[in-house]
Parts: sequence; C-alpha cells; structure tokens
Amino acid sequence: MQHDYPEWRLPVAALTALGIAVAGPAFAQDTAVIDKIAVYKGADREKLLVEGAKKEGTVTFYSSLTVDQALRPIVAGFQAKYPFMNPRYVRDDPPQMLQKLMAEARANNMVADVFENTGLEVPARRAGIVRPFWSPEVEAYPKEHRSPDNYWAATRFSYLGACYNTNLVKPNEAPRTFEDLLNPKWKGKIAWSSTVIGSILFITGVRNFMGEQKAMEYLTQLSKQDIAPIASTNRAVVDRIIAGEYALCLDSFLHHPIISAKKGAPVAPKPMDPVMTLSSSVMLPKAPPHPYAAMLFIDYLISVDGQKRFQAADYFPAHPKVPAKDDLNVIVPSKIGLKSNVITPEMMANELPKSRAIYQQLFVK
Amino acid sequence: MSSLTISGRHPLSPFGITPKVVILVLILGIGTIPPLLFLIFASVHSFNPDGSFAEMTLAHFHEIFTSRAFFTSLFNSVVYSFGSALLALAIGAAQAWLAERTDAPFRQWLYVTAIISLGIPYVLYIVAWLLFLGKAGSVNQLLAFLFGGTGPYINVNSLGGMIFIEGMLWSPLAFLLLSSVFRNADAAFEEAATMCGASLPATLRHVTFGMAQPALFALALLVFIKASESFEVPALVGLPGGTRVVTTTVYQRLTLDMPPSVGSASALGVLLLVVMAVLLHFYGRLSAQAHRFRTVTGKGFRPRVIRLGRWRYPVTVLIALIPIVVVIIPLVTIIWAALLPFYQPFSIDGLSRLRLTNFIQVLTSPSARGAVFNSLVLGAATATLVTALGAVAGWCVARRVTGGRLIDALAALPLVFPAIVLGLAYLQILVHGVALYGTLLSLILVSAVAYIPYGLRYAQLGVIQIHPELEEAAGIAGAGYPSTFVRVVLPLLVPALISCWLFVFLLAVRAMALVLLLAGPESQVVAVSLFDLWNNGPIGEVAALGFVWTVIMTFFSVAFFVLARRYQLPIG
Repeated sequence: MQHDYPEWRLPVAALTALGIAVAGPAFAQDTAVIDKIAVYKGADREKLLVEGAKKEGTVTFYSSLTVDQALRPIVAGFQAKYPFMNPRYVRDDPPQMLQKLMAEARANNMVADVFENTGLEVPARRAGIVRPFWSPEVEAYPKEHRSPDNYWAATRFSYLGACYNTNLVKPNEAPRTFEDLLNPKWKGKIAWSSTVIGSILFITGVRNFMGEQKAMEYLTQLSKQDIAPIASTNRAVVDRIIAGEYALCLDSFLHHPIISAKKGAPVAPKPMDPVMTLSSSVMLPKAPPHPYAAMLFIDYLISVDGQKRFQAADYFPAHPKVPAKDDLNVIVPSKIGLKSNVITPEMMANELPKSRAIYQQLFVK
Repeated sequence: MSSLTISGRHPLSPFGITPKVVILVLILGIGTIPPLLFLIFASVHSFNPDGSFAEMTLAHFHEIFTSRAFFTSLFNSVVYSFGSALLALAIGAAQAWLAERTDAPFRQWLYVTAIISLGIPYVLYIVAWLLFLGKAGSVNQLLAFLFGGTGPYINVNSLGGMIFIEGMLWSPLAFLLLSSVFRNADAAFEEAATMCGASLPATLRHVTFGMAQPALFALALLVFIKASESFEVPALVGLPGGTRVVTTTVYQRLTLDMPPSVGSASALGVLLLVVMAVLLHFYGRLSAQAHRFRTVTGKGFRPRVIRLGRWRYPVTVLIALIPIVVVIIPLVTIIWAALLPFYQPFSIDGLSRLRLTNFIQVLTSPSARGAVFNSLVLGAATATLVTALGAVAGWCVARRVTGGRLIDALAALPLVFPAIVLGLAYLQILVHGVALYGTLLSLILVSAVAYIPYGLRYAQLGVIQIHPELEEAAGIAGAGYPSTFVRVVLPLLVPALISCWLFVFLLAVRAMALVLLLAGPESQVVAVSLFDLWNNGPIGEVAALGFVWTVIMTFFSVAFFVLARRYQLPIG
C-alpha cells in the first residue's frame, strides 16, 4: 500500500472549488419599493398595489395551514379575486419555516413574499428578518389581537384545553377545573405532547392566569400525576386518548376532539376556565421579491373575504365579523360563558425559556 | 498484493494515485466535507438569533455529559443500539439464508416482505406497533381476556419494546445486504463441509456465515450507528415509559427551542463520529483479510442451493412467521386504522364501522397525487446515483487502491449526520445557489449524500467476494480499467447493486426530515403533504395515505426487482 500522497489535500481542493461555486456575487436585495409601500396609507394605495402586482405576476406564500383543507382554497380565493396573479405556496411547520426564512434572509435570496404561522412572531423579529406593515384591513381588529408595533396581524385563533376518553371517563367525572386535575384518581392516566405547543405552552398558560407563585405550587402538585410525555403533535395525543391508551390529555387543540367525536369517536373536549387562546399571524419579510403582490396578499388574507375561506376550512377566523362555523362554537370561550386566557405571541416566546426550565425541573424524570 | 498489481498499472501517475480516484474523492468530498465542517462548527458554537454562528463554546458537549442521568441514558443507548443491531441481523440473516441458499418453498416472497416493510413510512410503522402492543392494544387485550385482570401484561414502552421495533425496522437492510452476499457464495465450500460430516447447523456456523463475516460486521456497524442516533423509536416508544437514551435528551431539548438549536445535535454527531471511527478501524482490519472471503474466482463457481430435506417443513413455518411479524401485523394494523373513522383496537364491534372514507379522501387529494410522482423521481434518481457512485467507490475500497481509505472514510461520513443537521447544512449552502435552491434536483443531490454509505457498503461487500484474478486476467487480455470494471466487475456485482438500488429507493422516498427543510415552491409536493397530514390529520387519514403510499412503492420496487433479476447476466 502506498500512502505517500497527502490525502488531506483532496478535500481542501474540493472545498475551494465548492466555495467558488456557491459564493458567487451576493446582491443586496432592493428594498426601495417595499420601504415605501409597506406602510403607505395614501388614497391610491390599492390602485398602486394592483398595478405593481400585475407586473410582478406572482407571489410566494409560506404557511403552516393544512394544504388541501385551507392553503389551496385560500390561495385559489386570492387568484379568483386577482386573476392576473399566479400565486405559489410552501407548506411548513414553524421550525422548518423559520430556518428557511433565516437562511434566505442571510443569503440575500428571499423566496417568501408573505408568511403565516404560529409562534414565529418574536423569533422572526429577533432574527431581524421582518418589517412592520400597515393594511387598511387591520383597523377592523380589536387591540388585543393586533401587534403593538405593526409587525404582525392575526389570521386565526386556536383554543386549547383538556379532552377525555368517554369510554373510560363518564362526563360527570371529567375534570371541570384545573384543580380537578390534581385528583389522585388521574395518576398515570394523563398524557400531553412534549413540545413547545404542548406541555411548555400549558405551563406558560397556567403561569399567566395563576401568577408565578401559585402556578409553581400547582405545577409541583401536577407533576406528581406522572403525566406521559408523547413526543408528537397535539393531534397525535388526541388519537392516543381515542385509542384508550390514556384517559385524559391536557393540551389538545379543542376542535380536534370535536371533529373526531362527530365521527363517533369516544372523545369529548373539556374547555377549562379560563380557556387558553392563541393566535396565528401573517408577517412580511424585510425584502420580499414581489413587494406589491405581497401587500395585496396580506390585504386579502385578513379581509372579510379571505377570512371566510378560513371559516369554510373549519378554522377559527381572527376577524371579529367572521365567526367560526356554528358546530365549533361549543369551545369558543365567549360563546360558552368562560373567560379567555389570551397568550400573546410576545408572551409565548418570552416566557418559553422559563416554562421550559420548569418543565425540565418538574416533569422530566 | 493485488493493490500493488492494480496501482502498478499506472506507473506514470504521480504518488500512485489515478485521476479517476481523484475525481471520485472530489465528488465525495464536495458532498460530505461541507456538512462535516458545519457539524463540527455547530457543535462548538452558540448561535445568534438570526441563525449565524456566535462565539465558540463547549456548552453543547457539557450539556450532553451533564444532562440528568447521563450514565443511565448512555447505558440504555448502548443496550438499545446493540440489541437492535443483533435483532436486525438475526432476522435478516435467517431470511437471506433461506431466500438464497436453500430450496425452501415460497422463499422469493421474503423479498416482497422486505420491500413492503421498507415501503411503509417509518413513523407509521412505529405507531402501528405501538397501537398493537400498547396498553389498550390487541395483545394486552387478548392476554387480559385469557388470564383475567386488567393488565397491561406487556409494556411496550420499555427498552425491550424499543429494541424490538428498531430491530424490525432495520431487518430489511440486513436481509437485502446478506442476500446479495449469499447469492454469490460458492456452494462448493458448503458441500465440502457436508461431505466431511458436518451437520447443517455446523456448516452454517463455520462456512456460510463464516464467509459472510465482513458483511455481518459491516451490518452490525451500520445498524449500531443508526440506532445510536435514532430519535423516533426512543421518543415514541421509550419516553412515555420513562426509558431515556442519549438522543431523547438531546433531541427533546432541540425541539423545545425556536429556532431549533442544532448545537447539541451536532455535538452528538461529533461524538458518534468518534465512535464510528473506532468501529471502522476494526472493520478495516477485518476487510484487510479480504482474501479469506473471496468465493467468486476464475474457476467455475456455482451459487447452488442447499437441499433442506427433512428441514423443509419447519423452515416453511419460519418463512411464514417472518413476514407475519415483520410486515403483516403492522400492515393489518395500518389498514384497520385506515378503514375506521377513528382508532379503536381490533374488535367485532369495530367491523361494522369500517368505511372507505379515508381512502377516498386521500385518493382525491390533489396534493397527495402530485407527491407520488415527484417522490418516485426523487427515489429513482437518488438510488441510481448512489448505486453508481457506490459501485465505483466500493470497488476502490475493496481493492484497496491508493486513496481507498480516504474514499471509505468520506463515504461513511454521512452516517453520523443527524438528518436535521445535514438538512440545515445544505439549506445554508444551497440557498446561495439561486438556481438550485428549492428544486427537486437539490433534493436528489442531498439525498444521494445521505445514502452513499449504504451504496458503498453494498458494493464493497460484493467486490470482496470477487477474486481479483478475474480482473487481472482481463488486464492481461488487454482490457483497460474502465472496460474491466464494466465488463467483468459490474456483471458480478449485479445482485449487490440491485439490493442497493431497492434499499436506497425505498429509504429516499420516505425520508421526510431531510427533504422538508429543502423543499421549495417548485418541489413542494414531495413528502410535504404526508408530513402536513401527519401533523394535522387524525390517525385514520395518515394510515390511509401511508397504506396507499406503501402499495405504490411496493409496486414499483417489485417491478424493478423482477425486471432487474430477469435481465441480469447469468453468473458462473
């Protein structure tokens, strides 16, 4: 065997070649147009946007909406309203979307024109990849569901709470309050999703309405119930409840058990006072490649027209004039006489580290 | 030494290295070195909020070593990985021997078993087993019915449950790899052993599996590494029961951050790199004695089968049992779940609820239909690339040409990249290349990098069996390098390459973590609708899509397998 050739030279050469291939000339993307129209309030705003969008011809929408149920119909609705547009979409969950957006921004190769998701408001702003914007449609929304400095606009709500298996738990035995969850009879029978939107969010919610000290006492008690962490989405946890693996879960999106119960599944939602309420938002990147079309798309998404598409897709529209479908109202706190525990995007992100620490301290065994 | 003979043919090239080896090293280097650098960088840096590297730190390693119950986790990790490797090897070896070395009836069906089980989306396979073996699952219900009481009698959320499911997941790899090895094994050795009075088990132990030693070791290494870095089985199976391994700690921490902090995952990748280097070192020593395992020589070689005689009937039972465990139980659970409006364990009562609603929903979904076409292109292109590159690289490694060890190391690297780190590394690279970013082509190239370790191993183990005298004979007859490779080596390698293609194809079409991060508006349909449904859909719809998916992938794989075997050049 001959080993007189220094083998490390080859990877170095390969890397150099690669560096030349990918580095290329990096252009700073032109932001003159978006600087002007993102917050433009002139009377000719709509005319300006439509004319600009016509020239651009396309818009790329990143979203975590379900593709067939919501994303396609919404994009189709936009196209129906503006037939000269040829919109494209990318469907991603929050972590992947944020990673893509950050990579695009740092490479000055922004592909997304508009994005919509849950929980990205603060991380995206911290990363410096979004800009404030104004749309006339925003004015219709109440203050608690508006970004204090116009970095996001709410598109839809989610309500979270417990659900239980109706074969294992009789309705009158189901927990009514947060205190009921501490009953020893639930020990080993509760599950939750061990994710940011699962157990961590539950802890943030409890801290928000109980206050730090009471929350800590409560969570310490709760940790004695041996809650099973399911490393999947909240939806998957509901399926485990339906299968009878666990009697109760704490962190379901409350419309999931309703949808399954309608098909005959032995599961029922149990909203607990105050009901945790989350919003998802639309945001504008710093340098969208199609700025006019981006603004036009945001207008549509939060308009009554666009919000009706959310309604038709069984989501909870954020627009105050567009209610959810009737059969979903049994979990909307204002319709069933319960209070809301609104977790704002800012709260969700800023309280994450502390809730995570509590989770790891109390619940990771 | 054969390596001298071969490199000796090129007296003019400097350092004894041929241009072809340089090109190969370049290709592999471009594929694997950038993510390696990213992995190492990410393991020793903290990150800024915009995703760029901040200051250097050893915190990620510190975090792993000081995590709660680290030594218990480490112990569990070793037991789990070793157990999974052993189980996968045992099941795979039994199947491969039956399919290739015996005249057992129905043995060809074992290939279909392997293909189907590789076709089932990974996470769905795990969930199917959980539903079957879980607290409220059919097995516990049956045991409760037989023995009274409420149970649960078996606890799937345990180390044993994890080993069982992970071992099942990797058994098709063991089967496909060993079957190609057995296919080229010369029956003369086995016959000689039998003539000398050795019993069937003794022949098996000393001859059949003795000759397959490099393959067995290579397989154990592959599965051990993959199990050590696996997250799904530890998280879905182990965590609810309180069994932690090293990856559960690392990945759980990762998902509790926004954006996900890949630092600790990278640190884990670096640690695995060290483990793999040690294992590869021992493996290298084994394959240095490659001459012991050459069975395809210039003499007429007959890959003939063993007549089972009175063993025929027990073996038939075994052939029926393996598919039942590896495929039929999870598949029936999936079909059952897909036909129900909501999940409930097997029962008479459930029969009245069976509907095709979920299937209709899946089959009429426009995005799911698009996904199939793109996924087939992705799978076929990736498999072809990996097989071709693997064949050349595997030959260089097995023949120990100068630079062969570098090729071996480069091609083995992707094994230790956690999918999330590999995806992020390539996202950061590709986003600069405006033309490639988000395209199907970029997904194919990155997938090829991820699967090259398998391509190399399949081919290398195939070449080890081929005696270099065949190539030397071709050389003497005046054939150059390329024509020797194409006309002598490749035809003999075909069984290994077919197995390799199938395996990579099926792995590439179901890998989600990698492609999710790289898919753009133009390649949006790839696996995305599956993942979307996975996260948002009820289990019935996921099962329906998964089942349709499995059927399509099985159809294409079997078609490929049958065609490939039919047009394969006759050996011997």
